[in-house]
Amino acid sequence: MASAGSGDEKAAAAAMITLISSDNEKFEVTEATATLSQTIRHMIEDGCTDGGVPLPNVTSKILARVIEYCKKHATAAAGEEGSSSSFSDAAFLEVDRAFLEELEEFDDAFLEVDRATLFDLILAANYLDIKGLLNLTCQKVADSVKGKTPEQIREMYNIVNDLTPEEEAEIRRETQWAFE
Amino acid sequence: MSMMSNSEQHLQGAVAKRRKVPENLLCNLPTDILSTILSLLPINDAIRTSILSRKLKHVWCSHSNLTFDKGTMRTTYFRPSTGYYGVLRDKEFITKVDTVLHQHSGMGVEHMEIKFGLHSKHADHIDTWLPSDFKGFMNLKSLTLVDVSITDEDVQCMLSKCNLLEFFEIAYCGMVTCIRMLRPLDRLKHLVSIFVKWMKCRHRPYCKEDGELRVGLPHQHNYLKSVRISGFFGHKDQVELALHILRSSIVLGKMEITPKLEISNYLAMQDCLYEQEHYVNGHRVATEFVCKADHRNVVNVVSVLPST
Repeated sequence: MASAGSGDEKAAAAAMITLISSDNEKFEVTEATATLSQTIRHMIEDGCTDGGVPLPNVTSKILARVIEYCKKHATAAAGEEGSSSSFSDAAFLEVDRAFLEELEEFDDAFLEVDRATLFDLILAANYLDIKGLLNLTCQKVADSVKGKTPEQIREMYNIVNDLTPEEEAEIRRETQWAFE
Repeated sequence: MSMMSNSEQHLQGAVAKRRKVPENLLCNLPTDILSTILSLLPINDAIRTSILSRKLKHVWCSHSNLTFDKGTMRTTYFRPSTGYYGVLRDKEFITKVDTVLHQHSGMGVEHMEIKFGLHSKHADHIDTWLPSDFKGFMNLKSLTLVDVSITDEDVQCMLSKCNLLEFFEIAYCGMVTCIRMLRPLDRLKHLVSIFVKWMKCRHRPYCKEDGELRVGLPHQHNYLKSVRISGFFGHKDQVELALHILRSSIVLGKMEITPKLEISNYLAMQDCLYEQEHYVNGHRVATEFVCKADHRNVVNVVSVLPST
């Protein structure tokens, strides 16, 4: 009865989803937070979230961080929808700008993690299909590589050079200017 | 005994440490994530990763955000042979772009930008940078033409394929006298137009004696929401354009007219080139002829304060 009524939109907005990490820890989140993940959004649409969503690829430590990100950005998305109709209104733009700045600060602080955590977050964002988080974390790795020589990058990420000297010479010949 | 267990512990610690160090985080990522990361780098930085390891050799070839300009193509570089800095010639620039595009997989490019002073003699060669089955920018959503030697016909031809265009900006295109469209651009939401041509033709501000304003049949724009016209000096063609847009755009929420020449993402031209009277005239004509026809109160005419 309750699930078919027309007054249920409010109830649906506040619906809770249970996420279960690989180490069996349960996290209760709102649907708005959870659906920042396209993977979970599809599961909800298919109606297979009763009894919780098992996420065997994500540890509780990483899942807690991912949820922290989604909570913050879900509020941001809700705020954006509310104000998009009055795009010409300067006051609204001012509020938007302040909020975006706050969000940027949050993102910067969010990225203050060790490298192993950063890579775990990338894998989780990819698996859960959270575009904003994937972009944010990948950008951090990209920035760390930017302007560095191949030798510096190898050292930073412990990359073993498994190319033969001939292969390496060939690559350098083809796009020599990129290495100058 | 205790010494041994100590050294054992020490050994275990060392093993644990050693195990932790060679963890190759970057190379262990799936290729599609590596490709996402490299696409966030300028193309020259991405190419440099090809030499790191076998796995990374070809990852840059699916780079989705190609920008070829002075920075990424290293147009100023140190020539050890001469001891001076060399400047890249157009031919060398083209050769570099050629090698990059030749090695690129050709898949998944979302953004491609070429910023370099090239000439019409290179046009045929530049055409080869587009896919062989190229029929026009059918999925293009945003187009900005700045300082392009392009004719009315070419603009018309280009726009005729862009059915999904939402943002169109045209500026400093001295050869363009009018923009005609064979079909209405249904999705167009934002139009930015910056006039510069009129400066050269010694036009004068519109007054009634110049004859009636010609405004074509309303070619209805269903989505156009915002229009910005800058460099509005009040010439007849400019008034006609503004009136045409005003009458034909049913959901227009904002039309800003400024006599000042300005451009998004671009350095403003020097003010001193334009006489103060252009600004005054532009403002007067816009207020007199455009605002009068604005029944929905969407027009905003910016008045430019005299610079001191």
